[in-house]
Amino acid sequence: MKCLEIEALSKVYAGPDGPIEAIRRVDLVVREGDFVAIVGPSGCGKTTLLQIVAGLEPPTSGRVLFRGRPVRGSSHERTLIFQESALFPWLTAQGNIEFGLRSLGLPASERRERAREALHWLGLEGFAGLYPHQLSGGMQQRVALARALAVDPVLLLMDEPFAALDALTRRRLQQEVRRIQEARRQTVLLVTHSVREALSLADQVVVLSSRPAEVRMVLPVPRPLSPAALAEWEEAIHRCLTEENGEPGTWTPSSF
Amino acid sequence: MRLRLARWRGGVLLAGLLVCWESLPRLGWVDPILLPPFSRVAGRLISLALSGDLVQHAVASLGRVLAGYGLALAAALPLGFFLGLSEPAEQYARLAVQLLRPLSPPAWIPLAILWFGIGNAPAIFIIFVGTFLTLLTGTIAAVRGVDRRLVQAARTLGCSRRGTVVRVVLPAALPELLTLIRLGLGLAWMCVMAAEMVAVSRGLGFLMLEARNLFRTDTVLAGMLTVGSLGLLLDGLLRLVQGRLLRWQVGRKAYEMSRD
Repeated sequence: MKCLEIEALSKVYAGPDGPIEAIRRVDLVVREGDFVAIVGPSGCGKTTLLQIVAGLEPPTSGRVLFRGRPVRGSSHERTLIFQESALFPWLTAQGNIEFGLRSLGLPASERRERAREALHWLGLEGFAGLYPHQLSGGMQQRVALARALAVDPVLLLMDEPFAALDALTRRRLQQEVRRIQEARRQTVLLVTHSVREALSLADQVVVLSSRPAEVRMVLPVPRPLSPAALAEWEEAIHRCLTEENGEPGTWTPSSF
Repeated sequence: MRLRLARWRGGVLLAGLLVCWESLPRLGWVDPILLPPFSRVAGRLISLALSGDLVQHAVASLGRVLAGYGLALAAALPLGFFLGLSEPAEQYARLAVQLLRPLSPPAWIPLAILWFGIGNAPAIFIIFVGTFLTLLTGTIAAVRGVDRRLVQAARTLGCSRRGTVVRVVLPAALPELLTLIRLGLGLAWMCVMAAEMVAVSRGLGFLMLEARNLFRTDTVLAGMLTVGSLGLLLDGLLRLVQGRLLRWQVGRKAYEMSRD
């Protein structure tokens, strides 16, 4: 079943020196249970794409269908996770996780139960009472993930969620995300500038060009992917990205 | 140990100033009519307090501050939220606000007297106009300064647009708002003094002006000490509220520094 259908989506911003074309006629389908990664050069419009899917911004033209219905406004069914955790600094880890559950109108006992569950998934037992500033960057991102999963989203949107973490923490959290995704059959749309991250996490990788973002290719990733195959695929995608109309400089290689 | 020492340091300078104040007129280096020694001013302060005059004047001043500043808060905070959240509305208001803001509170005094005569009303009016625009522009800036991603995160967690104002924008802007409210109270306290020098027949400002006319420098200084202490007390109360409401911030800076 199709979870998300994006048809001929375009986005044009009003910039200070005239209109800026961020996205040009992008088509994309995400089926239920899929883990799809979008890779592309920094500043290519990936984030804009995610914001449109989240309902935080309207598209200029084209359609975004969520479970067959056009997206209008934001909803907890399409939860967004940011590069920096975007936790509420005045709430504890527990309070942050319960935030969305309160919006859903759940009674206190059920909120507490679901928060406990979410804390457990991410190995955050014992951190429930701490404020974000008392947590490390990796722990903060775990809380953000727990907060998002607690509202039981249909589609989890992730905008470079590992980019601000150190290599070791990133690696661990990536594995965790993959484990949770498989266990819950969680539909995920991940945006990243790291080709390797996309290949090692997703079932399908969508490669975007630099601005305006256009789909360059869609690759189903076979599992398991051997290290040699991974390196080969990575190389192929990099080549695809640098070949495009002569702007290889905009590509930032992943920091693995 | 070091912390305790730091706490006493503030007292050292104050004690030094008091010693100078006491000794300069006593040694005859300064005319005691222009600067009576501290002990005489303190004596005058006690006698004013005992006679009940001081309390009466202080209550009059405080009442005006509470009324004028309370009105300004009640008007500026909601309006500031509205303008801070709505870009077009803020654009309508911007020019008018910028035009009126440079008018210092005393500049309103002649108009206040023409409109309200003598009494509480002009003083309250002056406090209101003297603090309203500062509060308004400060609130707009505080609301504008809220991290957009926090609002976006709340929206995609199912929070309604109205819900985010109360559950995200308000707590996120609160640290800045509380600082603003403290600042505004100081401003209101200054305004009431200016207003009482011209438009009323009671209050600490009036007490000092009258004492000047009678050449009672000790009363003038006693009034000034009261004004300063009350200002300090009011700010202390607000600081207490601030600490209570922002308890989550305790040690935040230290943590952020110790990380990475």
